[in-house]
Amino acid sequence: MCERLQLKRILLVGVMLGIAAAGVSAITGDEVMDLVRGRDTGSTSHALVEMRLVEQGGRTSVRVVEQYGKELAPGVSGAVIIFHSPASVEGTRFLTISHEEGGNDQWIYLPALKRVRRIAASEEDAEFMGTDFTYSDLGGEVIDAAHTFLREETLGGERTWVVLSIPTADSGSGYSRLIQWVSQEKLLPIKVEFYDRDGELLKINTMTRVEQVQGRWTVISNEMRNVQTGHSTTLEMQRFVYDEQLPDSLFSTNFLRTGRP
Amino acid sequence: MTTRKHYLTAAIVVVFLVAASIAVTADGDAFGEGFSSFDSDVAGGGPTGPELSGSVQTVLRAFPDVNDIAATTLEAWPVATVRIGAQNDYASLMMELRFDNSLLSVGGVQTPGGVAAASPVIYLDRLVREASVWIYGDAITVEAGLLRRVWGKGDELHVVDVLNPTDLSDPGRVAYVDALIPVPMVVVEVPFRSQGLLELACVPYFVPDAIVSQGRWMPSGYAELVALAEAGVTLDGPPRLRSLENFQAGMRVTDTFGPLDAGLLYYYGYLKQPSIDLSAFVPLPVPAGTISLDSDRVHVAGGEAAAVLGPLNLRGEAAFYATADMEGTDAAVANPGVRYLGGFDVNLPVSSLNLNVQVLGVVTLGSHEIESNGPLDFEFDADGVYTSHFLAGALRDTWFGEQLTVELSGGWYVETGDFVVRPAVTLGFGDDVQLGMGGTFFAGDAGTFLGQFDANDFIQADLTYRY
Repeated sequence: MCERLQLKRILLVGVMLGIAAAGVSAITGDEVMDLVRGRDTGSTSHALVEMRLVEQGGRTSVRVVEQYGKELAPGVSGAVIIFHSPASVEGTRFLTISHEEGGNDQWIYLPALKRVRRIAASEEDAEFMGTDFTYSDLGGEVIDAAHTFLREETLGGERTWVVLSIPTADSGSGYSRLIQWVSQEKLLPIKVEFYDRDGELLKINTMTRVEQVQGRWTVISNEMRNVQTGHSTTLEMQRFVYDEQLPDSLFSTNFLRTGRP
Repeated sequence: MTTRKHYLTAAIVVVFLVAASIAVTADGDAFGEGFSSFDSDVAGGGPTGPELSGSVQTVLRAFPDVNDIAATTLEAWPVATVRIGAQNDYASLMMELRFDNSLLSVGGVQTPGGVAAASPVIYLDRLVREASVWIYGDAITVEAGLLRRVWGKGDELHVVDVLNPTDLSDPGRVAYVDALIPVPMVVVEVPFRSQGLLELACVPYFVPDAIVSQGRWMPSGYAELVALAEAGVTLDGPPRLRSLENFQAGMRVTDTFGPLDAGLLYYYGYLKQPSIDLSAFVPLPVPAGTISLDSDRVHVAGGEAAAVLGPLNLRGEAAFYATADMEGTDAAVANPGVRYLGGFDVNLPVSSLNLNVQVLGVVTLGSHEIESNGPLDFEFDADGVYTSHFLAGALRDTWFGEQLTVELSGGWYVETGDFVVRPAVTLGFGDDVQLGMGGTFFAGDAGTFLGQFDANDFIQADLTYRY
């Protein structure tokens, strides 16, 4: 794990030096996304998140979830989401195993059914537990996409690279394109626009608070707003810790069923 | 029971006790590597005292009389569930209680000619829906108590879910898990590889499927037995199988291989529905003699798989049921058979529409021998049909962040032509309150499984608050 982290840092420095040598405007979309992927995100992450679902009329419901993430092997990462409240979703657990080569495997455990269910590709565009995030959004960045650098732009006082990402036909993505504003300082997207299959703007994910946690830029709160329905989901990190020792068994279907790694 | 059988039973009990002791003696650092939770409600969050959750539901069901609406029969009842949980670093407990009208029903639930209606065991099974203690060790986990455990990859339909009997007293109940009868059980779990799991289960005695012995949901087959008893025929059994020699045991291994989840299982236990011995029954000219009911031992060997194939979520199960009458010549013992299930679900490119299709097949082997035995073989079919295929489908869509759900589901028995259709609408009010409206409509010949309830079509509304 440490060797891999070291490698990521070397790659990051290499890309940054290349950009400096060639002049900032020469950066490509792939290079920007390499910078995003290569930034130090720790060996593990652990967050307690308050999720607010806001209807167009303003009615709000709150869900509390806990998230764990870990790089399980080179090119393979795991993420678990556990719903703690409200009662209607308590005990629901969701697992994603992401493969840099080969997409995601996803399972969900619904306590009312006492069953772990695999999520099919056709479901990845479906809403996740009533939120404005889809199952594929939770699977992470659309890796299987062509990235094109559009321009530099100042957004909210921050210098950003604006990148157009078009998922490949094989990616199975429900989006026709994404436009990402990547902070040049923090090396993470601070705004993402999602366009539906008809090319219409569907959702905007805005990072409303980004802070340093254990020396790493971390999104503390963000809002995913569906511009077509007026519904939005905000995520607010209540607690966030990097580099905890997490057992691999946490990222298993057995954990989904039992709640014990 | 032979001495050899005694040794076998004792050996199984010892294995479970040893396994349990290993788990109990595991040290408090059960999870290793410092796993922790921010929330005290989950593993690693430290000990928690008893915590309550559950629901309160009011159900209104109407059986419309299309010829005289005023004569429509109404039933209404409350349902309250209480879930109690507590845990520490190496163990947890969970108990779920359910209070509903079935606890007070006169006559209650019983097996044909068997367990008395007022049996406190029956009432306990219906009140305590689950009561389990989990003990977590480094290498194994033990769960013991009154459990409902679902085996198989099917979606609300299974052929390898063999541990729990089914409560058939309310065909209007949709959720598969709700119909499972909890039974005393010990399960040892041994995880392996990253996603693999070995499960060893032991059920100390046998509980059959439950049916109602009176009222509108009494099966026609049971009604025939009751009529014969009233005509002077003696009904004998089935015997109450609650001694250690009636133990059941099962083993299941599951794992994940890329996009495939697969498993194998073996079960030694009982068929959950009784066999009928008609050899001492005299049907003509006046019904007389004795009809004996018994529960047949069975070995079940099966497999299960679920896989993602493009947009499809495929699932399947198959099992061979080996009974004591492998030749099929004994008219009073169930023949061996093959059961299988296949299906898929897919999200359609319209709204959040999901289509779910499954078919469950049952093939009774030795049909030639059944035909040779004639009508005194309880599996004899006058039409010579010894297969059954049930095609189930559901079309479901959600809107407004899953606050509104509309579903049309149903099932059709291919060979006999009887079917059921269930439209349903669920409306959420926030996260805690839910209003459900729907109906269940049966059709088919009177002698068929669903057709026998043709006059029991109903519409239903329910209001649920979860806490």
